[in-house]
Amino acid sequence: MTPRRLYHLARADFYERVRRHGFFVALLFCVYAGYAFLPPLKSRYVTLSMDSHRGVYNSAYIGAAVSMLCGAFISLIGFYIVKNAVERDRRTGVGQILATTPISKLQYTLGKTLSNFAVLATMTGIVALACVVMQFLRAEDLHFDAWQMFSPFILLTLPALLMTSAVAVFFETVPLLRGGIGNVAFIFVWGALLGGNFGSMTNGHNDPLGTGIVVPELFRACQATFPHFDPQHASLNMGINIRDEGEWSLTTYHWAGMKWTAQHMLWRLEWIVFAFALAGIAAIPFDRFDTAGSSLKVRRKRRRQRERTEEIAAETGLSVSDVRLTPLDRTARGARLGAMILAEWKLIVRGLRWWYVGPLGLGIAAIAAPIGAVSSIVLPIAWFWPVLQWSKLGTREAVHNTEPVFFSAPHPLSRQLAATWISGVMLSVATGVVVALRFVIAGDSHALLAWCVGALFIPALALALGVWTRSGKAFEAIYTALCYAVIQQAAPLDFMGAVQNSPRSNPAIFGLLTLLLLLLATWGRQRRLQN
Amino acid sequence: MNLSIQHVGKTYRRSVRGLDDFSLELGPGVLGLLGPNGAGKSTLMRILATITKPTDGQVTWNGTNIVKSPDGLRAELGYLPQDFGIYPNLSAQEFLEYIGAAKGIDRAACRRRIDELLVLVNLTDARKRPLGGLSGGMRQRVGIAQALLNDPKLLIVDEPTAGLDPEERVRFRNLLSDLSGERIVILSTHIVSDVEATATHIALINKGRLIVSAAPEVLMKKVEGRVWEWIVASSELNAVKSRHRVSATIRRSDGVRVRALSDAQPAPEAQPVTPNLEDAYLMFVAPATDEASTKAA
Repeated sequence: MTPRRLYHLARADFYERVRRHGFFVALLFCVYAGYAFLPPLKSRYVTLSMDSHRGVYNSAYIGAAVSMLCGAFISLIGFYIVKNAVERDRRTGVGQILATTPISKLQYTLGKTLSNFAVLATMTGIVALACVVMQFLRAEDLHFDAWQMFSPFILLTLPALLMTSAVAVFFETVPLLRGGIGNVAFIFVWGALLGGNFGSMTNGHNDPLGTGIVVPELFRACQATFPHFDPQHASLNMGINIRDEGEWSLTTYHWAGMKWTAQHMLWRLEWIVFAFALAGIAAIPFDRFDTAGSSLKVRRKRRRQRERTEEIAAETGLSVSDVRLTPLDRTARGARLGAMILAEWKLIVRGLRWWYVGPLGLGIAAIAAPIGAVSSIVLPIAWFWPVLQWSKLGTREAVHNTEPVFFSAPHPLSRQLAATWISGVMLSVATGVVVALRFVIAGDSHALLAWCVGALFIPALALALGVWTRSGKAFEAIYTALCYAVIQQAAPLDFMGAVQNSPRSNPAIFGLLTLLLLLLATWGRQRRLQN
Repeated sequence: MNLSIQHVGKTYRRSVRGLDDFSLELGPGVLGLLGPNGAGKSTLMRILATITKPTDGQVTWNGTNIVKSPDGLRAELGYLPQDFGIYPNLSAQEFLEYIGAAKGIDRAACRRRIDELLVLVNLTDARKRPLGGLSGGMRQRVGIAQALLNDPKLLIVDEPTAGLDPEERVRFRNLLSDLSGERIVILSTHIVSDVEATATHIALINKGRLIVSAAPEVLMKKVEGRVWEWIVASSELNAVKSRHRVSATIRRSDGVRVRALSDAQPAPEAQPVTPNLEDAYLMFVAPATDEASTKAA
């Protein structure tokens, strides 16, 4: 294996990504994250606390706390940012060139993993630098210790992000995980890795983010200051925890920082080895840009298609001389929004075969189940099922390069964009109609109103994200997280009326959000039309 | 029917000029837009197709500004872009129906038009096959069909013969000629022979600027007396190439027959020959462009 080859593979890919406008936006997000991860003592939200305590913002505490938070957030968002390295080579045709070089499949997947890692490490570096500024901005402890500040980023965050980098490459090389299914599945993988029980929080354990290394140390420091603090029964808050009313009232303890042991290093090394192993395993399903297909069935089907196409191509040429086109009557042109909606609908349902089993089964469940289960379980699942169909809204023109044709047709906003959204609403209605009928029968007007708003909100979210990101990934990730939150009964995020006792104001809030998203989608499309 | 391009310019980010003070008046007929890669042809096509907005100047279609009111032109526009995309899961028939809906064509008229177009581009047998399974040439024919779907008054085709085999190319040229009667056809390409066969008017473009715009015969007249052919030894070919703009070479048993442009007789045995469009193109657009265009003007 040539290190030079690996280096250049990773370098070219890295440069290609960081020179994009989107990467600059991601870096700005990182600066903001560095700021948001360290709220002042009196704030409506906390990011890391144990019961009602947190550490003083010195270099050690800031480094450790933010490195864990950063690992958690960047491993999630970063996955969707970097999961396009192989796809880009496939789309641009560079992969075809690389496939003809002596570069091996293993070198390729390792190179792409390193490139992914370089991108995520750059983002982490920006967060770490923002932390230095934040220590002086919050000014709780002005003594700066570079090792205590940066070592957690190096030893905790970077191995976690190397894992993310390898997982992204693995997902890209496995055909089933390459598209929307992979984007949705990663949310669950990420949740399992973060929420998984890897061992005791009081005695320390090895987990991907390194919380099992840092948190026991923080527990000990907290207990030293507050003797009544019981690590066995303490509640650990990690993430953005917003208080419904008023501010958090936290007390602080002093923590001197990590004393890294050989055991700690060995634990982190295990994840690094695991990441490289996964990058190596990714080489097995990697098709090396051979579009001939892998399974025998697919190969046979494609061969039959190819043969038939060649037959037709051999039989026919471009034009026959005696064809006369009938001039089109100028009155035969009109608005035809209905036809456009129908055409968009056909695009949504085209190619779906076994997909219909889901809505059918869920429709039966909606008839048979008690009303409580219908709203809290059946509805979220019924509206999660079409996630991959909604995620195509607003992105098809970019993905299939049909923008020049459709954007030069009349009324690209009032006809095409509107039809796209309406077809998405039709999908919401088609997959949730039985639930709505149950609400009508039960006379639950609030649930019905929430359902109506949800039916409009989902395609609006998909369309806005699709138009702006020109990819279905953002919607697939955000919508999966939203549905997961709803199933977990997170009332403020209940956009469909599935959570018992969700705020009465939710339909109004999500209705307003729908309007904003539609305006955002229109604005985004308008920008594309006027480039 | 009139398309008026007045002092149009397009500046991209970092002050890159894609098009610079471009003016042209067009009526019915085929305009062949010729220029080297990166000359600004596609930028001009995209501006005329209402996809890109110019940063300077204005374009009017029958007196209406297409930037301020693009939908008037869009209803009468057929556009075949250089990189033509398709939806792989749709059949040719379904794809054309979709485009027909986007263009606002009445259902019955659209169906009839699709039937005729599929016959025209010889895709009747493949009309129900997914586009993803079609060859590049067949997809290009679907592209041609979609551009003609709304019986456009302005037809813009950007590198339309890419992907077509030689026979299909000839047929497509004939099709363009047939269509040009009562409409404006703009054919952008760097295949000079495509333009030579179809264009009633030619515009040469380089570095975003219009170099010359004239009927083919006028253009070739400007090169008359400057095109020479003679035979040189193979060993002298490089020296000849460095001194003259060589438009063609043919190897023969007695050496290499060279066709080159020169104001004066380049060699005692050189004979003047009838110029073709390639010679004219070379005269105006080749590296010694400035010198050549000044002299020709």
